[in-house]
Amino acid sequence: MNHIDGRSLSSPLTLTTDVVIVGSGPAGAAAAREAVARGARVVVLEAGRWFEPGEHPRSAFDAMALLYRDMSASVVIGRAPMPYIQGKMVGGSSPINGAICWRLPRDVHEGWLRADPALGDALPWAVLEALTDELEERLHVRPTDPAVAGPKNLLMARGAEALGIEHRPIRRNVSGCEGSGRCIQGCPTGRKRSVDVTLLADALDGGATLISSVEAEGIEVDGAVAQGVRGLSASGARVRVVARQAVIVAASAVQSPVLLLGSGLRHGPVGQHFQCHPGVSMAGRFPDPVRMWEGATQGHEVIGLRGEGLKFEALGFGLGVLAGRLDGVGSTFARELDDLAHQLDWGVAVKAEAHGRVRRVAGRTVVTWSPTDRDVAKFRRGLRVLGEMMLAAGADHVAPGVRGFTPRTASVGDLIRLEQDGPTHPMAFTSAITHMFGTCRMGSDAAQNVVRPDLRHHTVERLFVADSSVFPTNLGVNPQLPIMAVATVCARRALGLDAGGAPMAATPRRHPHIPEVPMAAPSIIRPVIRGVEPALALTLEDLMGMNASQLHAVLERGHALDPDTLAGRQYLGVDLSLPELARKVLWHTFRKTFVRDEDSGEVRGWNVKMEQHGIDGARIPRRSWRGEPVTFGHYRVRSAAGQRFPRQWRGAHFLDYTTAGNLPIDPAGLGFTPLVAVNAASQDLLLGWEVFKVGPAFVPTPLYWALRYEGPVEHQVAPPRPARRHSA
Amino acid sequence: MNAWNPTRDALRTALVLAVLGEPTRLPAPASVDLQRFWHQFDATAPAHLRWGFEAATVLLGAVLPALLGHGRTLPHMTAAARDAYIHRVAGLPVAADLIQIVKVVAALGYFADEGVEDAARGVSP
Repeated sequence: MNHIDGRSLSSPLTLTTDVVIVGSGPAGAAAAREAVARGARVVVLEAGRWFEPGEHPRSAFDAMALLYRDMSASVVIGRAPMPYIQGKMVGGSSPINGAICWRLPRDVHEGWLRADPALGDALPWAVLEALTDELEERLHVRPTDPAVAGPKNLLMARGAEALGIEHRPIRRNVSGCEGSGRCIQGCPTGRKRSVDVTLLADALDGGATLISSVEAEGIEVDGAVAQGVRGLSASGARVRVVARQAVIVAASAVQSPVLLLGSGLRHGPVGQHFQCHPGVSMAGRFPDPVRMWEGATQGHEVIGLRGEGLKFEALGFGLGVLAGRLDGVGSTFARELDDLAHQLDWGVAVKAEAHGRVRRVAGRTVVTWSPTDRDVAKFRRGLRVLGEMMLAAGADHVAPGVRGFTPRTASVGDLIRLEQDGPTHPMAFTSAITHMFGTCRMGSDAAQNVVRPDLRHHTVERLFVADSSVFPTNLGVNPQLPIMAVATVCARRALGLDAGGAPMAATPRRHPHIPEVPMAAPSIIRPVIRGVEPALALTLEDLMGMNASQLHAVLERGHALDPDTLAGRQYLGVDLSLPELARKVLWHTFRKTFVRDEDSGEVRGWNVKMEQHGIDGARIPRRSWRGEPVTFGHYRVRSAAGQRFPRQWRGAHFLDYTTAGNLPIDPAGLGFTPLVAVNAASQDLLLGWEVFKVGPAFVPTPLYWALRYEGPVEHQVAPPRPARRHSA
Repeated sequence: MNAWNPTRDALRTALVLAVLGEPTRLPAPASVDLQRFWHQFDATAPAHLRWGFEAATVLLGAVLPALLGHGRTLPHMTAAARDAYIHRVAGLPVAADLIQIVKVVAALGYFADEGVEDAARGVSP
């Protein structure tokens, strides 16, 4: 098997392949399998590590710490903070989900087509059905065997039957399940047919290469064409995968938009339209032991109210999680712990209508989402139905877990009151989010969608998105099978085939201008502005959206200054080094000027301190008690020829502060600052990199700033003391 | 180790014990060694959870006992006083939310112990 463990990489790694796929979950694994089956060379990058079945921990806490992203404590920000649950391992969330498999509901597909008929050709129903049939066979999807269902699932059947609501054993991707009840900690006996042991294994058997424990950091784009992916391994080694045919992003509805945003690909509503299935649960106490931790983790579901956006499932948690949901504290809680064998938890997944957003703030992922009032009404209705089913199944009492409502009841009347008059604020409910969608939506309108109906990015060629982020809406059911089916279509599209896998006419298979890079060889591809389309003129706003490595790429590719043009101009300076949020709060600006020195003939200048009046406020110089602009940091524009700057920067000019006559107390006097014009044939937008020179030593910093042309110099200032002559 | 760590460990362990109470059919929480759990929690939990729990520890373990006139911090209370205190603060706004966080962490820590998990799975009244 071609598996490279990123934890043991000790030096930079560069690979060249046909298709690179970011993410090894249901989407990435399905895309990899299809691409390999079609003869492509494939590399899969995965942020999580590889686990063997025997390595899956027993305790809920150890599982959360090892197998889940952020210990499953990532939260959406909104009216009520809610955790959103994601796996972080080879196979994505597939090895730690409840193994529930649903086909894409026909009504959902029809809704997509009504909104955008072009999706009918791109994702034909017949193709999705055929793919799902094949996937169900490969994953061994079958209804839960009653022999391993256990009491929690059989009681749900009894309760739903008593209320006359349609229900059924859950169809799950398991083979020989023993009912150990540990699906969400990773199957201890390897019976779950998760994608790591099925689709991804197929891809690896077919020659794909998996690189685990490598976090993708950016998509490399040159000339609006995706070139590859760069990442960082858990051991700190740089990883770069050059893709000659396609880059497929399959990192989830949270991580995929973050990767695009981090790569400067902000076209369309990337990160917007975040949708999900929030879930709430009801606990109940039964007279006989039900031993919730035994039997198929999630083996039964109630589907009769799916039309209302409610789907009910038996739940199975690790003991630590189950205990944390019990009522009371101290001695009251201890009694509940003693009674643990009698406690059950069932949940309802809600097809919420609310939309949220995924952002990248200061390098971190921020998800904002708040349920609407109608969504909260669904929480209440779902809890009522759960409670009634539990009581109908024989529960002594139920515990709704709703703040401001009775902690336990055996009265159907109370449950009706909960639905009709219960709390309306989402903070009153204990909920968690699974199944996320919509953040890189597919559709034909380039302004309203991130990828086209064929899953190709609207503005970047050879870039595809394959996961649930492309779904125009949430599904109301567990999405792993539909994700796999759509990702399979995505792989076909990436290889120039139609949705059914037939060749399409006149589709370029390869871009011949991209040179081959041998495995593990040093990169010989010319520097590109990663994530930026260099054919377009960059703006100050573009620069403000870039991270340090992207800014440095712009600097490396920058154009020479024209001192004759600079002389007599002043520029608004903007600090690009502050995180976006901090920049909005602190908003650090300055002014830089350039004039021709009459004595030496050189172009020199100085900084002017500015009043801070908000990001869109007036640019007003700060003035001294004498009414003159406060200046600091004088510099001279000098040729960089013969200088050996850090990181092998080889631009044409830099600002030399060391010989410009600054006072010894001015720390700017150590500056030795590379400066370039950002766009060709224009001196209106400049980019500087803060480098200091102490004696013979250069001190590079991660600080960058931009200069945007303001107008002619308003006010001339002499340096505090005579400038020193320098040897060119 | 700085001076804050023993104090913090004493506070959060006392808080966990107060929240868990004393179940009779499972190993006594006080007999469970939480050191491995705290070590992994500190290393793995995301910052907002770690700091949220830290704030809850200080508030519930030291600040609120003083404000409510208990005269001593949680680690120095008797078991009965601790139980009375935790029931009292569980009814207070904000404190109740913090106790929910502590309860989730406490339950995870308690059942992370193999002996507790074995005993729970064997419980059959």
